[in-house]
Amino acid sequence: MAFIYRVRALLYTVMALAFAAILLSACTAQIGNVDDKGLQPHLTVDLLIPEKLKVNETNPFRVEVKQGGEPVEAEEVTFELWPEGKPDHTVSIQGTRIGDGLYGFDYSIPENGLYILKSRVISGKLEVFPAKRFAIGEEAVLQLASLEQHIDQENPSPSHSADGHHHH
Amino acid sequence: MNLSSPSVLEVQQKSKAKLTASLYQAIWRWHFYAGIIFAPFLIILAFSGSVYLFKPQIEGYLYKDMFNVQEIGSTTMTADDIIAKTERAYPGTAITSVEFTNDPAKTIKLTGSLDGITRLMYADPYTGKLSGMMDSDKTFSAFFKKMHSELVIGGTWANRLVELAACWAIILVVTGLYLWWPRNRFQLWGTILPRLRKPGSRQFWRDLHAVPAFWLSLLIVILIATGLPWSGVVGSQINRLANSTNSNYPPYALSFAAKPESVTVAKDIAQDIPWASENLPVPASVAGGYIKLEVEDIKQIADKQAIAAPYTISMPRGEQGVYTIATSHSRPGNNATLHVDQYSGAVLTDVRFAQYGLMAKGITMGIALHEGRLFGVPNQILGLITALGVILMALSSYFMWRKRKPDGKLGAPAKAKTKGTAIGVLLIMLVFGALMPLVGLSIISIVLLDWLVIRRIKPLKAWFAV
Repeated sequence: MAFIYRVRALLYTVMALAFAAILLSACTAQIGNVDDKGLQPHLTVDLLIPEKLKVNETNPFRVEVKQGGEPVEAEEVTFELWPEGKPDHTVSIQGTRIGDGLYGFDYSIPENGLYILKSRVISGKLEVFPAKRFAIGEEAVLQLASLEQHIDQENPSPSHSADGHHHH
Repeated sequence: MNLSSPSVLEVQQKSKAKLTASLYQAIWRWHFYAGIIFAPFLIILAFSGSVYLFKPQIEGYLYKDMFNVQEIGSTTMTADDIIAKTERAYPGTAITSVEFTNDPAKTIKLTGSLDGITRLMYADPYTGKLSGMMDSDKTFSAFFKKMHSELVIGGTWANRLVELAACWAIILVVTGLYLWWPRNRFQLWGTILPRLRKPGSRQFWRDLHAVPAFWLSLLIVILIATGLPWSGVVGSQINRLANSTNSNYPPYALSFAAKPESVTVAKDIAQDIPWASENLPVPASVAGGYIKLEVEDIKQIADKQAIAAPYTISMPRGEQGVYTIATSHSRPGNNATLHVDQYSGAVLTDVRFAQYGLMAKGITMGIALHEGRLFGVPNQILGLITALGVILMALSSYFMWRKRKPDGKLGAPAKAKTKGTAIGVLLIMLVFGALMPLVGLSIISIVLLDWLVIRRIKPLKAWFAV
């Protein structure tokens, strides 16, 4: 008889401990699903601007969208293009799907100059809107070079100051 | 039957009374020494704390011209334009963060750094004009904060001294409660109500000391406990405990801790353009690097993610840095820290109060309570009453001591008659010492000082009543 009581007591203890463990685990830090760097689900984008651009010829502009290294379907991809310093000359273009996670448009730039291309990608609740400058024509190219060098000095980074060969 | 010989019961009662008396004596002695050493520090902490509690009101009054706009305009300038304007007006200044409120009558707080000095700059969002600026370590509250955490002197030693005093204050509360506990029959007066009919008498000061101390004991312990997570030694122990029970802050929960890096690869930066520095022909076209997003973009992200103002946006540090959105001094429960890719605007981490572990939640609430912002003005008043109570206790104890102190002696309570009791109480103290390492260290130094110095020098021995 005493033996049964002891077993029952043990059983209750185990149940109580299990309950306490569940209770405690409900109180621990909840970080949800994060990747190996501790980052939550997010889109990574690469805005692709051709190295060789020509005036009055169609040039392909693309954006590559991934999530967790895999191409991702976007609900909405839009582009905005405007000459530097003239945002009121903005042209808005709807991006079309070109391949898995690849969206873009072809566009003919009417004249030489310095331009800004901004993309906006929406996939579910996630959104990104990266932008890049590009330059056509010698004057604009030199302007961009000096602009980016200026930004570089203003925004020094330890990985770029001492050694130029810092790669991940 | 021999009437003169005591019965067994009487003997038992007598020895019990003797034990109680010597226990009382030993605890009183610890209470006395701890009090006399730490009372000055506790007065400083209580004073600086009671001023710092009212930081919003006091600074709101002192700096009202800086914090408020002269006139609410119809359109605001963008944060980026205000930053650019400020950086142009003060060459060499780099704005590191911007704080936004949802009050249209308030200025925007910019934090700038110039030659390693952090400067707070307040800008009118309608005109972009600075309404004033000050060094961050020279503000009114910075002074009292330093007094509260580093006794104005500053540095690690002062900070440890504050922690030591705070930990000993817990022992003062516990030993004090023992001394306060009615020894014989419970009496209303002198226990929970003070006897103040004979001002200046020892009883008057004793009741002014012990009765409010009893009433405030719980609040004092709560204030100390909620302050300790900041401390260097116990604080890091608390942190370790929280980590081992997996109930701490999740990674990236705190804006001032380590940050992730932007994931957008800023590979084509200008310095990779060889023709810019070498005499190569200039190409016909070139694609630039990613453009850092503007503060206004980040503000839109904050609004989209339902971050309650006031919040601060910190600038990315370096090319791989991130923008950080963090709620500032808001009600706990609203806490949020977000790290955002500086080029794409991708929200890389977003940690809210609900995701904190149990201990982190408790610490966050505790800090808010300690600073008097958990439940508004009543919280501040509760803190003030506690702080003033501590000062009253320190002062009344001084008068209690003066009433008793003989000339040429410290007037410490005499040592317990039975050696066992003294050692027993020392052991209890060492348990406290194990929980609070600085207390343990100080007890060991006191015991060593007692054995090696005080007992060997006659005048000292007499003065300390060893």
